[in-house]
Amino acid sequence: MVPRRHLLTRGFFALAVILCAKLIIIPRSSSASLDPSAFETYNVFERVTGVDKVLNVRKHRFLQARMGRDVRNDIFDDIIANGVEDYWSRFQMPL
Amino acid sequence: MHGIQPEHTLFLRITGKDTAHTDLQNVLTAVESLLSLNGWVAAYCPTLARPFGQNKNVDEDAYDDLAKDDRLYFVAMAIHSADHFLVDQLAVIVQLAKRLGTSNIFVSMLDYESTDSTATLTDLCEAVLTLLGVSFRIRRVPGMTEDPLAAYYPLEEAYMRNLALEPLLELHKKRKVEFYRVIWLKGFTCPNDILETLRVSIANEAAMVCGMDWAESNGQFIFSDRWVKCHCLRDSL
Repeated sequence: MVPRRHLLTRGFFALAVILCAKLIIIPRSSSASLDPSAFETYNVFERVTGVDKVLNVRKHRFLQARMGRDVRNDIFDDIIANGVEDYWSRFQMPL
Repeated sequence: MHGIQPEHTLFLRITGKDTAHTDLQNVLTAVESLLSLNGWVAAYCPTLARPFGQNKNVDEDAYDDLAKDDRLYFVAMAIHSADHFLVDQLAVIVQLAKRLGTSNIFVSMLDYESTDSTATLTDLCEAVLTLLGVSFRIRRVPGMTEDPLAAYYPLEEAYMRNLALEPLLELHKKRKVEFYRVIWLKGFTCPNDILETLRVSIANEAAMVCGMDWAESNGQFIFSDRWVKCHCLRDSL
């Protein structure tokens, strides 16, 4: 009979193996990317199975990207602009 | 950043299972009416005559030779306050996508600090291209020079065009995607003329092919941009 302590260790070991296998076999989905606008390079899984050079928008969300749409003013923008303007007019502006 | 970002992607999402079908039908009808080109310059495309009897818009010539190989085309355009041009060009892009295959083209639109309704119309472009499954990058950038009066046009144009071409280089560098031809939409062009230009480019193995601006009057054709016309000896024609 296997002692209780060993059983627990084996359980943890099996769990770790399963997690590792899952991480390796199932690639991180591309839609989970933090920056949706940048193209992603191939992950290991894609490299191994053969590179697909097709523009597949259903598989890769980053192929349909929108950049710089809602670039709006920040709350500190006027303070920064004031500072820059002040520095320019006092020290930099040619006489 | 993450708080404000999703709002422009939300309107594209068709939620509610019971209405999803009719919603999709509505959008598809809108795209269909977009393609009928009512009231737009592109509507005149079939009626225009070409010099040298080229490209007679014969119905049986469907440019199958371009469509049959799965080649990738990169469509690039830089828009600097030209909303009238954008709607027509969107229709042209959709026609191209229909002919060449939606997964065979990449559309790169660069909104160069437009002050008219270009920003709103790029939303429409985004919606249509998303729905059709065409890959794109629509980007709005601030101008290179703050004071428009101080801007040197050729330099601005070069900067603008390089930004529009950025996805081409990025896709090659990161994903080894190679495009067969780059199509620049600059000024108004009919869909069939673009396909004809592609065919000319392929037949001549050309590095660059450019359309000419012809005007017809009483069966005579006048070439508009005479200032660019010159001999190899550099004297003007």
